[in-house]
Amino acid sequence: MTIKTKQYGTIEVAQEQCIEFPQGIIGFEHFRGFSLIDSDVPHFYILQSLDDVSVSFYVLNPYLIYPSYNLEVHDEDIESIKCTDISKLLVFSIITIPEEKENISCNLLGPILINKVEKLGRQSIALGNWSTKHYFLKDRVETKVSNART
Amino acid sequence: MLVLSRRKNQTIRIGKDIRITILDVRGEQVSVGIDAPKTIDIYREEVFEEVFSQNVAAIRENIRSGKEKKPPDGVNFPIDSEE
Repeated sequence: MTIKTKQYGTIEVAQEQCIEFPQGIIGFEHFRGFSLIDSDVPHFYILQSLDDVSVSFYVLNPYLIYPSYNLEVHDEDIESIKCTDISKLLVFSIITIPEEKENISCNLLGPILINKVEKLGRQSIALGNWSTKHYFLKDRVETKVSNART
Repeated sequence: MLVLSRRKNQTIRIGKDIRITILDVRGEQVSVGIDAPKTIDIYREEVFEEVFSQNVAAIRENIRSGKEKKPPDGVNFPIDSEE
């Protein structure tokens, strides 16, 4: 099928790439249909609304940058995407890429959960002390600096 | 805004499906129990606002920075490559 994307104009995607968000994304509850597509940045994907071309998110597997992200969510959130088997679950974090690229941040408080078999998704709220702005490039630099000191 | 006074263990019903019960009051802290259908999402207001505003920021920054990008070579289904 053909979809319109913010980043790449009109492209062809497979039907399996289309994911329904029955409850939408927080603040965008009326947009239910999204497509998950590759981006031009390695490891980054784009979650593109099928209803409004201007609504698109860069998303990333948070475990690539925060391996210790021990995500806990309410059972209802998992149930709402009909996920009974954790191996069918994909977790993404929404990335904010400002003009000052070193301020790139990832949202660990509001993860995107996708049941890859049922093609159902939702934005959840992580339980625990997570923020919507984890500056992972800066964190990495600071980790390196602190490692160098020890 | 409708204002109702309630005591501990008293309930407010909203529509036929939603019940809000005051479970405990300790100083400034109030424990509230909510019974609602699973299809209704319940958030702490400040958490909802924080995630919402970050979603808006993510979209806005994409719009500003996303103009001259080239699509990747071939668009694959990332779900399969995650296996």
